[in-house]
This record gives sequence, C-alpha cells and structure tokens, in this order.
Amino acid sequence: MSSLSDSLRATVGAAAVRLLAIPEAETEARRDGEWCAKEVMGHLIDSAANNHARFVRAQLQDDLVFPATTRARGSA
Amino acid sequence: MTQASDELWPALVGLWRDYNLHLAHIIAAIPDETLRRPRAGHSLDRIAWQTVPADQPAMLEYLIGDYIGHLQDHVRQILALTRQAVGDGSMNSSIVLLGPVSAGKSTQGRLLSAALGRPQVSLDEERWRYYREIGYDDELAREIRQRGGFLALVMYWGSLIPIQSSDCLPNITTASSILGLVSTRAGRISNACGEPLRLTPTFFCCCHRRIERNRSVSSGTRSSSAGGPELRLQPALSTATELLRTGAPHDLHSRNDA
Repeated sequence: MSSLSDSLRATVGAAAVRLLAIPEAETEARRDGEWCAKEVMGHLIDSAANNHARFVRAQLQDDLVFPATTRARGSA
Repeated sequence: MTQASDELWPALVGLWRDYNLHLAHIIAAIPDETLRRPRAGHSLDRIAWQTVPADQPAMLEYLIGDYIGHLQDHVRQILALTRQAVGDGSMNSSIVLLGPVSAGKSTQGRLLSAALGRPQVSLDEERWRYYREIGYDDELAREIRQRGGFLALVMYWGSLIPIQSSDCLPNITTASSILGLVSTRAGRISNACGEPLRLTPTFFCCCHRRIERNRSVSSGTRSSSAGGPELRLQPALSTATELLRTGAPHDLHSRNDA
C-alpha cells in the first residue's frame, strides 16, 4: 500500500537530514542511564531487520505469529 | 542490542535510512488483500509497539503502521536527547546566510530551518530595529532615495554600520550591513535564536546570484518566493549541514551563480 510506503520514505528522508546534523560526540552522550543516540539508532536498525523478516514472512504464512526479539523495551 | 558505539554516526544513520528505503519498496509491493486480511493468529500482543490483544484479529497493515510509529517515536527521542546536549552550551551551530538582495537567503534559510528543525531568524528585522536605535531617520532616508536613488540609500545604510570588513564579501550592499549586525548585535541575535552565538563556529554562507538575472525573470519581485528551480537546498548548504555535524569551526563561502 503506497501510503504506508510513502510515509516511511518521507519519514526517514526528512529524519536522516536532521540526524546527520548531530555532531558525533553528542550521539555518544549518555544521561541518567538512558540510551545514547547511537544505541537508539542501533535499536532502530535491529528493528528494521526484524520487521523486514516479518513483512516478508507475513506474505507467505496465514498468521502473524513471529518470534519475539530480545529487546528489553521498545519492542517492534 | 547492537553494539553501535564503535561505529560512526553518519554510517549508522545512512544504513538506517537506506534499509528503510528498501523496506518502503517491499511495503509498496504488498497487495492490498494481503495487507488487510484479518489474521486470527498473531503475536502482536507481545511483539508490537502498540500491542493488539491476542483475542482480536490483526492485519499486516497494522503491523507496518506500528513499525513506522515506533520508528518515529525513537527519532523524536534522539532529537530530544541531542537538543538537550545543545542546550548545555556544548555546541553552537548557528548558520548565517550572507548575500545581496534577491540572492535567495530567506528561501534557503527556510529550507534549512525545516531540514534541521532550527529556528530561522531574519536579520533584516533586526536591522531596522538597530538602525532606529542608532538614529536612522525615515524622513531623511526618503529624501536621500528621491534625490540619489537606491544606491544613495544603500550608502546611507552603510554609513550607519560601524564595522566595515567587507572586503572579503562579494557585495558590500547587504553583506556589509549584515556583517555589521553579526558583529555588533551578536547578543541580540543570539537572544532571537534562543542560543548563545559565538562567531567562531558559525557558518557564513554567501549565496550570491546575479541580481540582474533575478530581476529580469521576475520583473522586480523576489523570484525566490515565486517557486521555481531555486526552491531547493543548494549543494553548498547540504555541505554545510554535513559540516555542522562535525562541530568544527568553518567559514563556508559558496557561490550560487547558476
């Protein structure tokens, strides 16, 4: 469906410009045990890979049962 | 969790962007029927970001929308995290666009502002406030313009600016007044930007184009506001965006003669 596809394309296109403007040092700054920007980005890349598999498998199987990933929080 | 800290940020962002553009292709090719078929069996009560109860059917369309929502949420998180760091004063990254009338400073500034999520401040507004503060006389200006034309008026403007280091600039007209403002009104501008302004790490981008060409195209109106091919971020400003990321001080002079 093109609207979901367009939405994803527009989101990452606009976000990437803003994200690339962040200086390297800031992406490693950590506060109060929270994830730093790099860790969040690592999580997003994991999420892309996991969902890549889900989107492909969903077209081959009847259900939407997928193995859980090992994320402690912010699954999907 | 991906051990990301050894990898460089631009590489991670590039991978993330390209992977998602690939996913967008995959999503675009999924038939509507597949997207919207209710599936009684699913694990979205455990794996989704915004979960679906196990006893309710779920659709692939929902799962994809949920993925995008999750992604947007984390992008907001990253931007909030790093804005916090900027607020600490550890980084200054104001961009100053210099150039003559009609060069496209406002247009480029608007695009840059949207792309970077930073406020755009028009120094022209500051300029008039400043001029009045130091004794600019509207009546005299009108008289000068009537007698000597626009150029004479420009000279009157210029005479009000104490800083004259315009020899590096392509056009003394607008550039000198703005440079003067940057130098003498840094505090005020910094207030308007909501962040401390230090001149060293500031970008100076000179967008300059032949004014005559603009004028001939648009008959005296600003062509930049009329749409058209210049409503794009100039390559040099994309470069500026990239340089901003490194946080190093730069003077960036770019030509826009096209």
